[in-house]
Amino acid sequence: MGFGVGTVLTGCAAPGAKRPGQEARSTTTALLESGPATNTNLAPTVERRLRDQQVLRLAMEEPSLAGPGPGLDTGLQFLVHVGFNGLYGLDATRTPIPNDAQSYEPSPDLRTHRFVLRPGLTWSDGVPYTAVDYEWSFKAMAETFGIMPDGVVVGARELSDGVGPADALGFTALDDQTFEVLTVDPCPYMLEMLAGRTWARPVPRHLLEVHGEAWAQLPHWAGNGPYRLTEWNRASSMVLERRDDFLGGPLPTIQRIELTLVDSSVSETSYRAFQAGDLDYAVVPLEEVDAARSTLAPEQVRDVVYPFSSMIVLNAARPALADPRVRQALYLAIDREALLTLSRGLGRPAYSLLAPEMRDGHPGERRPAFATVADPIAAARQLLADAGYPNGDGFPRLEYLALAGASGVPEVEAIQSMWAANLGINIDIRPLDVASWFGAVFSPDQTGWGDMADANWPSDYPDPAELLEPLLVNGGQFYHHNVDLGPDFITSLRTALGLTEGRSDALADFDLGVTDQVPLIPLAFGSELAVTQPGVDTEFFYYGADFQRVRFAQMYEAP
Amino acid sequence: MSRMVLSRIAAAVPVLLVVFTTTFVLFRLAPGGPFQTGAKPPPAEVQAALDARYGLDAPAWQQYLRYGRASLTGEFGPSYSQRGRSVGSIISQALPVSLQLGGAAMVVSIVTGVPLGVIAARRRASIPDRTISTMTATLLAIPDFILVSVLVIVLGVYTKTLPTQGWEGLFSLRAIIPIVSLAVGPAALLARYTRASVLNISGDDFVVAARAQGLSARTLERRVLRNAIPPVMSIAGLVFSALVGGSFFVESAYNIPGLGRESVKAILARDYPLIMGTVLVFAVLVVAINLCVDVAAATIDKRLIDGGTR
Repeated sequence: MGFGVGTVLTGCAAPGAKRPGQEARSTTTALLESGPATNTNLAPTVERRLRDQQVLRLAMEEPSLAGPGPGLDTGLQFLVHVGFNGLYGLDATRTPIPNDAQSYEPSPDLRTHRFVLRPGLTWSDGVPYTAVDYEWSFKAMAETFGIMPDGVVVGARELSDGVGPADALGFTALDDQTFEVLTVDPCPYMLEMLAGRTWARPVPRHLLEVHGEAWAQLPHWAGNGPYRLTEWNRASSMVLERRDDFLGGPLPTIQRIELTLVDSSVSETSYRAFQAGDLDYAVVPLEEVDAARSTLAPEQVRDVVYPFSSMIVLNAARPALADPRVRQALYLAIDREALLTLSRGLGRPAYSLLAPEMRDGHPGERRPAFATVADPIAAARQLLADAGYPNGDGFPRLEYLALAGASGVPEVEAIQSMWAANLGINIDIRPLDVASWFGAVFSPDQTGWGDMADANWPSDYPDPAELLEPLLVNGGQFYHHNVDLGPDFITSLRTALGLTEGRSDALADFDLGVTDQVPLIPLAFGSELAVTQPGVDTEFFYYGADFQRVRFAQMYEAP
Repeated sequence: MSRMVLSRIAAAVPVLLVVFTTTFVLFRLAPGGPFQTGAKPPPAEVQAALDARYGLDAPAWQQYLRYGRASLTGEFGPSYSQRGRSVGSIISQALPVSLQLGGAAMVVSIVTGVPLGVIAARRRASIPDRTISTMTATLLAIPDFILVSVLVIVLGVYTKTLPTQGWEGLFSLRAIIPIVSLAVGPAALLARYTRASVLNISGDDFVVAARAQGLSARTLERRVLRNAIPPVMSIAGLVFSALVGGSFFVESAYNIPGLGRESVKAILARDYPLIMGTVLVFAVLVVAINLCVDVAAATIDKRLIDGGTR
């Protein structure tokens, strides 16, 4: 399960703040800066002096590929978000800002999205690139890696179904500086999507065609982001240095990023290196959370919140779980507050699928109708009895596929106890390593699929679209819950996602409506406890688009 | 001697074939597959495209033959988890690190373990003997992954005298903790084996006879050691194999870019070519080290050639 990942989204735009897509944008203010970027999220409350040496030392997993591609690992995501640039990126508050694009002009119906690129864009090796490279790269991603752009892009669903070519995707370079994206439905989250997806970056065609996949290794490597990869000692370290010729957005303050390549960025190895002073930033392993909170200065400890959902997926193809009343009973019989004690207080209880940190997220705790009862345990027992299993009598023994990890299995054991004590239902836990778990849960024919399994979802970009379609459409493209959500479901989902007015309320209602049928049981919205050395001002979640916040990090003279 | 070497090499071929086949079958039976180790599963289309790209959509027997052919070239094919690299290049980068680490740990364990064993044997039932025996029994009970963690916390985090992770070559401060962690157990083992072997030989008839002939204590000791060493060398060979191939705990915990860590990463990532490559290299190493040990032992004691028939 492992929702050992925090709580206060200090960087979120204030509710009601103007967001892209809520109105047609005119030419956006160019953000070219020659001096250090202002970190609006992490601005110090007192005047502090920037260090002369702006070197940030992090631990990171070694990327499977140091360039755009399927975001299969954290290392690749990091390299893509600091070494490569997209049309738009996210700032320190996770608000979209222009990167390679200098303007974004959506049509009134939010189906045509036009970007004008900045002039003079170059790869780190000095070779220029244009909108034509964007079109070629986005289509090549689909052809080469099978990467499907989000289904909202014209041609993506046909391509995914094997009935359309990559060339028909809705990506078009109108001229060297103008790039257009066409979407099937209104897409108010276009900028977040382009900022977050690891496929939404250009690839250096001039290198790829000569070197093949080896282009993404030194000495061939070239990126278009604010940092250039200058050293790569395999399985040991990487160094990225700031490109002072970077024109694609704010120039970072950090001049050099030194990466220690580790097997897991959230590990004892990384944390010990931090404790010894060898790293400037680290995520605290769960077993060290209490000690870190008690021994480090408050300004060194940060609860980093990013949309991360911890859930249980239920296989409704199993007869015992086909009845929604059973799934609701299982939902109600879990004490989520008690579970949080196992994750050392990291995260918050989740009663629906959408985290408040999402774009257009609904603040506050919301529960589906069946869960708004005074005594959830009594209600759970009644639901189970109504389904034909009074006190759990006659209910089959079910198998739970647990993702083995620091907190994973203990949390599942706690749930096992809760269901046994509250409902008289017994489950067997099968702990699996990541690859085995993926293999069991995601096999297309559901061979080896248990009755229920851990289901975690960190969002590539903080919008409900990134979570709802893959989790819910077609019985769950990723987590196969097999719950038939009804004929109008997809229409209502896409309508809610495409709204510009009232989107937040519509999505919240949709969220509760779906949760009412319990295809997945939400457990927690997770967070990470991160620690910094004194004077290091940065904060990011070790996943996906949040790595872009590294671009806004700053180092101050230690107090 | 050459006949012995050739026969051992010939016998290694079916061993390696069995190792290769067993590894292939076992990992094909294990659930999961490559590209399924991130925070989220890859979309089905991506999985299918990657499977096709790396030939994972072919029947298992075809993949077996393909890996077999690639193994014969020494390149082992492309890695799935380190795209753009061949398994051969990964092994060629990681193996020297493991050999250095294992070799250094072996030297440390021999230099400390064998003399301690000799001292314990010479002073049998004395305080030094009891001290050494107690100490070696205790050290043998401490697994290397516990020891490396304790050393990192004490020497790296609290006293800050040594780095907490990484590798900068054999002659750097970063090598101390992993070498010590790896060497402690084998040193204790060698000390105990040396003690037992020396005591065993000391009671042999030829030693009693030599002592009766009035040979000097020094000469007698040399003869005892010469006869006591071959069994210790056999153990040392096994220890060296274990140090090179079994250092994955220490390599992973101390973030050392060696072959043990690469093999663990490969297993977790279901990087089949890298798994096959690392397992085969370890198998070859074990065979080669044991052959070297046998040759060395036979050089010291000619009776060991051809299984003691000469």
